[in-house]
Amino acid sequence: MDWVFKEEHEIFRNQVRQFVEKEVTPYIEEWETQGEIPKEVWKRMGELGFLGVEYPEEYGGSGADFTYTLILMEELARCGAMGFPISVSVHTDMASPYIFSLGTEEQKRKYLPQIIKGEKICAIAITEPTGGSDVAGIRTQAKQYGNCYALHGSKVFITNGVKADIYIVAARVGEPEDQLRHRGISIFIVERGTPGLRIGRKLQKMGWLCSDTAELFFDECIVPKENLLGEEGKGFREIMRHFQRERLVISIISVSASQKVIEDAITYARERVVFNRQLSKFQVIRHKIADMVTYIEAAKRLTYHVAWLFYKGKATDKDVSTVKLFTTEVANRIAYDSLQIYGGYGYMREFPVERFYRDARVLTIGAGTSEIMKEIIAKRLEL
Amino acid sequence: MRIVVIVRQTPDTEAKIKVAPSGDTIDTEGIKWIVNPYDEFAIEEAIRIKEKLGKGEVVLITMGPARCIEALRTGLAMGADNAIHIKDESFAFTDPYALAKVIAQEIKNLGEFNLVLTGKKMIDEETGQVGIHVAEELGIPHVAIVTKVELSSDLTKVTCQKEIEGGQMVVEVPLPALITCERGLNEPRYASLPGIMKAKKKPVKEVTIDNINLEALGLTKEALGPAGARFRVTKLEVPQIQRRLKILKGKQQDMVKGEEVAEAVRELVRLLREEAKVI
Ligand SMILES: Cc1cc2nc3c(=O)[nH]c(=O)nc-3n(C[C@H](O)[C@H](O)[C@H](O)COP(=O)(O)OP(=O)(O)OC[C@H]3O[C@@H](n4cnc5c(N)ncnc54)[C@H](O)[C@@H]3O)c2cc1C
Repeated sequence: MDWVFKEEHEIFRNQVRQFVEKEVTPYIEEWETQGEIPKEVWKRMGELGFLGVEYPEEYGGSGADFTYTLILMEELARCGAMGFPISVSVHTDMASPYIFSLGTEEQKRKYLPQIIKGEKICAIAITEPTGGSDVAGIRTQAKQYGNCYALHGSKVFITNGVKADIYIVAARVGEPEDQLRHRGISIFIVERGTPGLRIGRKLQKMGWLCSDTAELFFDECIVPKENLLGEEGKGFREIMRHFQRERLVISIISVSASQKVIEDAITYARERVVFNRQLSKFQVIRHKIADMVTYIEAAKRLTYHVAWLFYKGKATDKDVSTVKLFTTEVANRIAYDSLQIYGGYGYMREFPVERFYRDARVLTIGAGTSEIMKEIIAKRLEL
Repeated sequence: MRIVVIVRQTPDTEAKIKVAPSGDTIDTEGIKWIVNPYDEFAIEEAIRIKEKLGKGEVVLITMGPARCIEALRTGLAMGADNAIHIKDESFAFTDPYALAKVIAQEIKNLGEFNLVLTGKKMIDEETGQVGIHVAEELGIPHVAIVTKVELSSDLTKVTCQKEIEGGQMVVEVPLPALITCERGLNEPRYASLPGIMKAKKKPVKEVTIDNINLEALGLTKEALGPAGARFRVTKLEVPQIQRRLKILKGKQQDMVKGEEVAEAVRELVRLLREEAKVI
């Protein structure tokens, strides 16, 4: 896909890179300790147009295309903590797209400008304590009363959940039917402060520390009918469709963050001297690095290929699943092998590779596990 | 108010510079190019002046190969209004003398202008001549290496501050004038994504070598290329980096311990400041 990058893409890449170097990386330690990204940073990204890349200008967006989203995510992923690009991408590419693609004109006008400015932060709430892989099995209920729905149930592992202002929530209208379990799933906009919505504790995680993760509880949470997104009962298909962008973006982040880690590992291997020789001169290490570079190159090319298909509107769920599966598994392999190159230092908090090792682990779980990716691929192969 | 900004493109400060096999230039293969950082201060200042006045026009001008369009688009994305690209591959080798003559002519061709801004120097060859020379060609006053710019309310004068050894110097000149910009003048903004998208549609006028009346400038085609430059780079060398290592040791043992720590830290700070000159 390199051939689609023109001068304006390079300008954008330069600008995002400078932003990351000056306004993100120096603060990563602080945000990781606090377990959140400050509100001002969201607003700053809003000013710079990072939160509305592909949305039309009439809502305050930049009217750009997916190639810019790809560049943005690649550059944010180089910041030194994956929680940051993840948190941003949940807002931009996993939650708010529901409003853009399913919302009525009124809903779009009401929410998108604030989302794009970074004044309101979005989260997407699908996973429940009883299961995340089995989306059709969600249990949160939405009972209709006149002009309202009353939501009952709970959600877990919700990224941006502690701080979000707007929750995109999947809930079931009517009783789950055994044969067609995906029927009845509907998508709602639930605003922070809605009576009956309780935001639980900030969950303590292994990685992605600067990205806050919450449990949500809905108890007689009254949502006006205007907050239904799209058609009642048609949510399952929409979730599956929106997963494509989500998974592709996670793949882009995985590849780019891995790439940065390898670059650093190479520098380290050149500088570190053991047995009076540079580490990089030992064949075992050289070959390990060559292997990693090969894997990352393959992952990147596959990602670019599918990103191109996606941009053209031609990526299938099998295409996207192969990318998500491969890139996130590669990231974990790179986390393991890079850390090994650093020896004991790799295990120390001061070294970014230690964080990457923890951050990479969840990549094969969030946004659909590797097993689920394989299930999708196998299903498309009609096995 | 029309503000002209002379912009140039340089290799990225973080680019790995390799000397070309010829030994007199750098290998530009795979190099990332950026807007000359001092010119970025100039662009930023021009946009700020325009924003403050609530009106005006910021015109960028560059002379160089096709790749320089990226520098112009970056400036347009930051907020400049339009640009002029004096374009030829040979212009990568033009010396400051010829460069200034051609650029000055294009500025004259604009008709009216009130202020010309540019960086105090290019970070690549560090000649620092173009801005001053353009002022000469235009017959306007210049103030070099400026850290603060203030226009008079009637827009007839500009007051500039320069850092000088041990103090500051304040200089006032009538407009039109040319100012070369120093670090500290401002903090250049990033081009926002909407800015980048808008910049795609902003006009960039291309001037080719055939559009320039070289004779009138006392120049020839050759004078603009590598062969005709008034100075010749005879050799480029990469300095040998010496690895300097200094270890502060304790009086009794190698390790600095206990009461010695405070003293060692003071010494370390002194060394960082005075010898390594990093703080
Ligand atoms: C840090 C973090 C952030 C998250 N952010 C969000 C968010 O913002 N919004 C949101 O809705 N969710 C979020 N999630 C939830 C995430 O999407 C789920 O964790 C994931 O989909 C898996 O669901 P589960 O944890 O319930 O595991 P389960 O579904 O219980 O799966 C357990 C294991 O069984 C395997 N498995 C399940 N089904 C099959 C099958 N059919 N065949 C073979 N193996 C199978 C799985 O692969 C896994 O290994 C987040 C999770 C984490 C950890």
